[in-house]
Parts: sequence; structure tokens; C-alpha cells
Amino acid sequence: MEEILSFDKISKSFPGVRALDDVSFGLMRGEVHAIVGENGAGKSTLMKILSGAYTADTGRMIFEGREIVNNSPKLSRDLGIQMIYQELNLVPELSIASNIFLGQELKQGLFVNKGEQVKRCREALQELGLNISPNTLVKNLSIGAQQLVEIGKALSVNAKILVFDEPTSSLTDSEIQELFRIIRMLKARGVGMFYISHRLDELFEIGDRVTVLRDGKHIMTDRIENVTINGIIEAIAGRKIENLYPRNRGEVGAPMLEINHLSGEAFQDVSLVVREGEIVGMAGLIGAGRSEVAKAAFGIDKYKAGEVKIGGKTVSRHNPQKTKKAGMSLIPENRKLEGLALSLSIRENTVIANLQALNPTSMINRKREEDTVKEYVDKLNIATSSIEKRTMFLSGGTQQKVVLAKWLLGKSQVFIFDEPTRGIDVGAKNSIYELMDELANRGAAILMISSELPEILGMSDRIYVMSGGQVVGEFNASDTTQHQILELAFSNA
Amino acid sequence: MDKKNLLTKRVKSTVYGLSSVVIMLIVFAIFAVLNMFQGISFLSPSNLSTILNQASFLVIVGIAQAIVILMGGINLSIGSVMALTTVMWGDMLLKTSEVNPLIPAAMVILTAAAIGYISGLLITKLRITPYIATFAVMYACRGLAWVYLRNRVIYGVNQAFRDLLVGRLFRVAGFNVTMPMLIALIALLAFFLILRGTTLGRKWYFTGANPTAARFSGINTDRMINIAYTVSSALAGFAGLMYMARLNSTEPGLAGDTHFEAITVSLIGGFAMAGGYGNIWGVAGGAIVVYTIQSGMNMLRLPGELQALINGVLIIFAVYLNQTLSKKKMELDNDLSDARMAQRQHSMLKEGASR
Repeated sequence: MEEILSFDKISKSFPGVRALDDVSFGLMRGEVHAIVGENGAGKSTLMKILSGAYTADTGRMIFEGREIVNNSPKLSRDLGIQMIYQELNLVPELSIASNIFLGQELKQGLFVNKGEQVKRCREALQELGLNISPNTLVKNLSIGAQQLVEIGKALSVNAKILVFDEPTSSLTDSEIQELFRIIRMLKARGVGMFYISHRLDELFEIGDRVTVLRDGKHIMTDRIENVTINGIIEAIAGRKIENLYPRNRGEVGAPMLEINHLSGEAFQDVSLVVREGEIVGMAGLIGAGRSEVAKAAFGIDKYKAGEVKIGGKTVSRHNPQKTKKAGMSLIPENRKLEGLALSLSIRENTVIANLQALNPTSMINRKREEDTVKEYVDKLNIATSSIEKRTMFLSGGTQQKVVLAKWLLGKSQVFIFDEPTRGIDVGAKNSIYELMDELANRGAAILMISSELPEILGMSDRIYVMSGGQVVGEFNASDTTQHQILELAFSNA
Repeated sequence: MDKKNLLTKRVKSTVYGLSSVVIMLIVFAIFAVLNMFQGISFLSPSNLSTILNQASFLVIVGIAQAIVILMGGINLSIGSVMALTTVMWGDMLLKTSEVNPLIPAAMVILTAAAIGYISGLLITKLRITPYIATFAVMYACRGLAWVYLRNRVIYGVNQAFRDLLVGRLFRVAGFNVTMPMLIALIALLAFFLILRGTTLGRKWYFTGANPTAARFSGINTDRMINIAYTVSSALAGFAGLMYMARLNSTEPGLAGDTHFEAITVSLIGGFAMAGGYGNIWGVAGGAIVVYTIQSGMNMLRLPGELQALINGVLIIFAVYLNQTLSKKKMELDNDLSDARMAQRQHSMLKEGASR
């Protein structure tokens, strides 16, 4: 088989993160090439470079023997490189035919040649083995059928490379089989395909080769016959756990946070408990429902059934004001959106959750406020020239520390940390771990949501694993492995 | 960074922070020159005091608008609330009425506050966007005022009441100091204190800057928004009383364009439509600019259509300038703060070395 595309030493950095580091591998004609890795391993960044949405800092892409220079979304499309995204790009109110020719309408003089479009579309649908009328409105199709229309759209422009990003995440089993049938057909036609998926079992059914990325680095590429599912899991996770995780905790006490049979939009029947002085990890893939459980427990989102107890007392008619008063803090996943008002200063952000406690008369005591903020800036080693600095000018790690300071300021005894170290360098990570350890040592109950397994294993006393909106397992951190957790995390995805 | 560079940055940052004052000075200069050609003394004390007096009315509606813009919202119902509330209680404010005028005055403000609370509920409970919610309230109030009063005009307001709101206090060197100026000053001071010195003001800024983060911080954002619209509307009611005292009358068509004037005042005053940014003193500058341009154009006898056009262009110019300047100011302040830190470290090192 002949190589249609190769990545040659591709590197790409974002502020504070090396997203891709010297990545090289290739794609054959008529090959299904699976790309796997943890969230943030660099898969999407690489595909965005391929589609022209991002530009690589260094490295080349060779397509059909020629280097792609000055790549752009338009150029890559013209070359025949098409993306099939998880979120579909179809217009629900238009017919299949109109969607397929959207932006590339067949014209007769000034007017769209609808008759020709419908005819060509019918041929394309028949080629895909789909028995639907081209005039059907897209909104009347199932998600699976919509995905196939999206593929039809890609084929109508004679695609040579297709990229599937989590194509099966919202499909039923029979729809998946239908998709695989079409993928096999495309293979026979010589279309090269990248296939990104968290469902490792699928790779063995449809993949020819598999590439593993980790922390932006190319770990391995091999033929699917030569690898095992365990081998892939090890390659995905395989980080040595360094002595990064402090443990000075004492005895575990009474239950502080109890979630009983909680059900909401994205999770069902979730029960868990976190005790005094304990750090409990919550592992799983993105989309497993972990953050949703945290938000519901904190009172941000509504839930349908179940109850949440803080310090042994049931919280009724939940909202963040109440849970805050009951002694709970949520350090949210998305610090820029949920954690900080970026146009305001460190001072204003740090005290915002404890304004009333700091100023019981409702009149702001500026001196006390400044002293308190300075104390926490020192304590957390927040690198800044002034407490008046607007948080938009801080690095990711420093921003995260400001969010932490905001919640440490209060009298909370229950903490939920949602991805506390995402996008943060190792030094800052370690100081955040030390803080968590100290909190637990003083009797706080901590629930830590993390997609980084080493962090989960390193910091937790106990671990829950969520998959597909349910708690699928519970372990003592001392007698489990990354492998065991990953396997469970993928089990219900 | 050398000292000269640092100084330039400091000056720039200060000037950018006072952009509404800068705009004000430019506008004054333009009209002073233009009017000079016509032989009118624009900068005479009496003309300046007229400008300040009239601008004081715009300060009140400007504050009413600024506090909801601060929350990332808008209040289109300011003018019609002024009309409806004064029309409803206006008869009791006339010379012919036996009632103490303070009672209907209080009722005007309370009614206005209640209407504002309803706008707040439309926004927070029914999740209607502020623009549409207050747009609907604007029409409802205006319509109600017409239905209530028909074609009558309420005329002949209690003189003591007029003196209290729009009377002249004293005269210095040809400059009249008036009640509206005093009221505007008090209002500016009061809202400066509320916004900068109370937990409520802090929560308003935070909610305006990032409502999601505010919710995650345990702030009852819905309540903050309700309070803002209630206060905004109560201020509109108060402004209605002032307009009524000035005109010695009220009618359902009162203050037809005031909501737009109020928006112009806040935007020129440096409040950002996105919310979470703005300084209440900017409203004073904005009010003076808006009124100066109006009166300056009147003195030049420009036709109304041309005035409207110039107003439109001015809004675009002022908002663009403010957006650019406020962003630049943030960056400059940040550089300055870093530079001060570097300087401190540098001098500490030197001290250490000399020992």
C-alpha cells in the first residue's frame, strides 16, 4: 500500500502547554488508522493541524508526495481532506440534498439546479446503500442517519482522507454496524481514514493500524494484529508515578459528603460517600458525567432524584448559596468560565465567595480585605506583582491558585476539586497537591475529579470510577492499577 | 524599562481612564470655536451653568441605565416609566392638591420600583433577554399612561415641590448653582459608595463581569439582577419627578427618547455593554457631553435631522474610543504594576549590595 499522507516531526505549543512534540507517522491509502490517547494527549490538535484550523510550529505534512504549504481549512478541503465531527454540521431545516450541496450548489445560470442536485444526491445515497429520499429534511433523520449524510457530504467532494472524531459516541449498535459497513466500502475505494475513538474494542473490529499519543508525544504505531487491548491501555496511560504526591493524612472520620441515588440529565443513580480526612478520586473519561454530578451536588444544576447530605444533613432545595453555607466548596473544571471574572483583580476574585463573612456590615473593609488577600497570596505562593492585577493577565497555573485561594478562604469542610491541575506545570501541580493533603490532614473531606490516572492513584485514598453516567466501580487506591481503572472507565462509554 | 518610558505609560493610563473627560473637553473646544464664529460666548458662566443644570437631569437617568449595563443588561423602559408614574400620581402634585406632595412623590418612586422589579422577574424567572423584556415593559407603560390620562395634560405643579427639585440655590460670578446639580452630585456620590464600598456593589460588578463564575461563587445572581432593575427603575421614577418639576407639567408622551439618551450617556461615560466594567463618575462626563452637543447644535440652529445623524455618529465614535482605551488602560496598568515590582526588587538588591 502506498502512503497518502505523512506527518513529519510536527510540533505545536500553546501558552504553557506543549500540545504536540515531534510527532511523525503516516496514513496509507485505503487504511483505517486509529488514533488513541487520553484527553489532552494531542489527538484533536493534530487533526486540527491537518484540517488547517491550526498551524504547526514546526514540521511538515506530505500529501500525495508533496508538502502541504500554507495549510488552511479551504486548502485542506480542496485537497480532499474532510472531517466528520462529533457535533454534526448539518442544517436541520434543509433537505438531505440541500445539505450535501451546501456551499457548493450546482448552478444553472444564476439559479440552483435543484433537479440535478437531487439526482446526484440520490446516486450518492444509493452508493452508500441508503434507501432514503434526498428530499427528506435532516431534522427528521436519526443521529446515525445524519452522520451518514455527513459522510455523503464529504464523499460528494471526492474526499481522499476522512477524519472520524468519536463517530460512534451517539450511535446505536445497529447504526454502528451500518457505519462500519460504509467505512469498509470506503476502504475498498482507497480512501484513507483517521479514526479517533475512546472505545478501544472498536479498533480491533475496524482498524488496520493504531497510533498512541501521550502528552503530545508519539508513543507507538503498529498494526492492529500485533497489539493487545492491554498493550494499548498501557501505552495510553504508561506514565511513571513520580514522588509528586504528598501523603501526610491521618485517620478517616465520619461521612461529610454523601450522595445517595442521585440522577440527572447526564448521570443515573450515583451514590458515593466522602469522609472526614479523606481524599476520594473520581476517575472516568470526559463525558462520563463526573462534572455533572459535582455541579448537581453543589447546587448549580438541578437533579431529578436522590439526595445530597453535607455534614450529615440533607440539603433541600439546593442552590450554591445553601451548599456554600453548609460548608461545601466546588473548585470548577473550567477556571476561565466558571472560576474567575477575568476582567477583575486578584483581590476582587479572591474574596468574592466570602464577602459577607469578611464584611458582616455589608460595607467593604478595604484594609481587612487587602490583608486577607495578601495572606493567601503568600500562602499559596501566587506569583504576581500586585493583588490588583487583573486575572486575565495571569498564567493558567496562577489563575488556578486564585480560584483555590477563593475557596480556601472560607470555612468549608467539604471540597470538590474538578480537574484541579489541568494545563498546569509540574511545580504548580505539586503545590496544589500539598494544599489538598494539608486540607485533608486538617479533617476536610475531598472529592477529586481527574482525568489523569497518575494523579488519581497518587492522591486518592479511595477511587470511584464513572462511565456512561454511572458509578461502575470503587477501589482502595492501594490495591488497584491504572489498567484496572481504565478498563472500567471504557466499560460503559 | 527606563524612567521616561514609565512616566509616559503612567500619563497615558491616567488619560485613558478619564476618557469621558477627554471627550468632554474636545466637545467643549469644538463648540466654543464654532459658536465664537457666530458671536456667541459658549464658555460664559451663565451658559456653562445652564449646561451643567440640564446635564444633571441626564446624570440621574444615566445612572439608572449604567447600573443595568454594568450587569450586562439594558433598560429601555426608563422614559416610559417616567411618564407612567408621574401621570398616575401627578394630580396629587398639583398646586390645587391638598395632599403633601411628598406622599405622591414617594408613590411615584415606589410604583417605578415595582415596575423595575417586574422587569427583573421577566429577565430572571422567564429568562427573557433584557432588551426584549424592557422593550415590552416600555410599550406597556407608555400605553398604560395614554389609557390612563387620554389626551389630558397635567399642568401647574406645586411650587414648593418645584423649588425643592429644580430651584436655584445661589449665584457665584454669574454661575447659577441649582438643586439639580446638588441632586446629581449626591446621586453620584451615593452610587459611588454603593458600587465601590458595599458588598452589593462588588457582587454587581462580579455578576456583570462573569455571571457563571458568580453563580459558582455562591452569589444569588438572579437577586442581584432583580435589585439592579428595581433600583434602575426607581431612579427613573425620581427622574420623572424632576422632569415634571422642570416642565411644570407631565403627560403620557413625557421623556420619549430618554432611554436612548441614558444609553448614550452611559456608553460615553465608559460603561461596557458586555458588563462588569465602568466607573460611575464617567456618567457625569457622559451627561455633560450629550447635553453640550444637544445645546451646541441648537445654538448653531442645525436642523433636527442633522442633529440625529450627528448623535448617531457620536455614539459610534465614543463607544469605539472607550472600548479601545479601556483595553489599552488595562494593559498599561498591568505593565506598570509589573514594572513597579521589578523596581522594588532592583532597589532591594542594591540595598543588599551596599550593605
